[in-house]
Amino acid sequence: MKRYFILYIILLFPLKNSYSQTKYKTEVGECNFSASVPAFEPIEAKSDKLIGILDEGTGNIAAVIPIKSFEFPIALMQEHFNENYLDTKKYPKATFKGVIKDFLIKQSGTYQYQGTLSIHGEEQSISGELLILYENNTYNVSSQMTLMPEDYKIKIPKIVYKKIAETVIVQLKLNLAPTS
Amino acid sequence: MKLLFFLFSSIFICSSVLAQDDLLNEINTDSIDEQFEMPAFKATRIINGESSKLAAKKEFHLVISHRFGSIKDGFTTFFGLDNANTYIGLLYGITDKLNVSLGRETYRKTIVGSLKYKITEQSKDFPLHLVAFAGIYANTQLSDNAYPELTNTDRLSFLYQLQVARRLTDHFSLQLTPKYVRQNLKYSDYDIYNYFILGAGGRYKVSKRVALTAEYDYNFSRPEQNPFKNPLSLGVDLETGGHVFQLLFSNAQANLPPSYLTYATGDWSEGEIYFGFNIVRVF
Repeated sequence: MKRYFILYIILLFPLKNSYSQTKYKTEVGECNFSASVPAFEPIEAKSDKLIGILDEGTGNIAAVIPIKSFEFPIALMQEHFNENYLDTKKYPKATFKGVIKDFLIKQSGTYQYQGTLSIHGEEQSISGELLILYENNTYNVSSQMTLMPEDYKIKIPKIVYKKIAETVIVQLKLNLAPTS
Repeated sequence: MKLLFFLFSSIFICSSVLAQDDLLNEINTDSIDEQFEMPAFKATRIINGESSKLAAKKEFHLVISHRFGSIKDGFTTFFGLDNANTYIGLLYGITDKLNVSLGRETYRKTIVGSLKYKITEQSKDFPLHLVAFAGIYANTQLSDNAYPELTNTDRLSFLYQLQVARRLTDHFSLQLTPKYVRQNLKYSDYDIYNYFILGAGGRYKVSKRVALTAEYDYNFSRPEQNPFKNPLSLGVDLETGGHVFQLLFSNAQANLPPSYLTYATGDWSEGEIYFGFNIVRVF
């Protein structure tokens, strides 16, 4: 019995290690996007309701944002965005889950990530680069991604086709602090 | 046996730690699923009457409406297109809850000033959109030479109404509108001064940018001998980004409330229908 117990401890040892590492979280992450085309009125929106979480031990990262939280300078544009393009009532949030490759604990640097992004009820795998600055026990994560609305089945009618860019540039900023 | 149990339990703990989905679930709180309702109507008017929709703060709308002559006239007036009654108006959102509007219509050369105030919005806390509307309308066509005894107050009409609207489903919205119309002038012996009217209007979205609309006003106060009809209008809303384009058929040729509510002359059963449109440009 004693031998089994020792074996169990040995087996659990690497896991215990990962347990001791902290999760880092924010609920006020920033996200903004731009789908502007030169010479037309800018199509831009921002939100500061991005929720993000990072597991230091595994390098796993996840984020979720309420679509409704995006604010446009023009109210009508916001209404169109929610009602005609993103179907916000049906798909209230966008989510991301993924892993940071070769993540080093408490190390600043540029990392590659790989994951799944879900917008408008459509899932797409996505990869890219993250810039991480570790300061004052906080991971400051920033990233930029380029998305194609058609990948997420967001239809843009012909009549406004020229006014909305084919690629949407999304910028993210998360200051992740340790969870207690 | 115990060894097996330990091994399985270790593997189980191990896999649960590694699962990314669990990380997402930790932040995927239901507070994000918070319910919200879209406005019941896209344009500030259902067809002729005001809808529960307001212009947003600092939003500026230019409204141009035409009501052509009766389509029954056929080719002599090109189905009424020769005889246009035109309304041009400006609408401004002082706040998200208060709109002010100024405009003028060809019919009786009417000038209008109006206020619209949003009392409450449909949400999970309250099931209805409630909007109050008040307008003052001046007939500037009556000349002082022809009617020397006419005073300026005789030219005025008033409308007070409460719009009670609800978006019942994603596609269908309905509005009930109790209205009070005051006409300061009797244009004929069949006219009266005070009218109580109940309006009903609705919108059905056929696709994301096309909606069908309908509107009817029942007049409780109209005297029996009064020859005018209750207005019934049918329309199509077309959304094109910054515009809402409304095409419509109505048995009222007038554009503005007291006139279209109390002096609708057309009769649907006899084909006396007027074609028209509203264009709203949002700045």
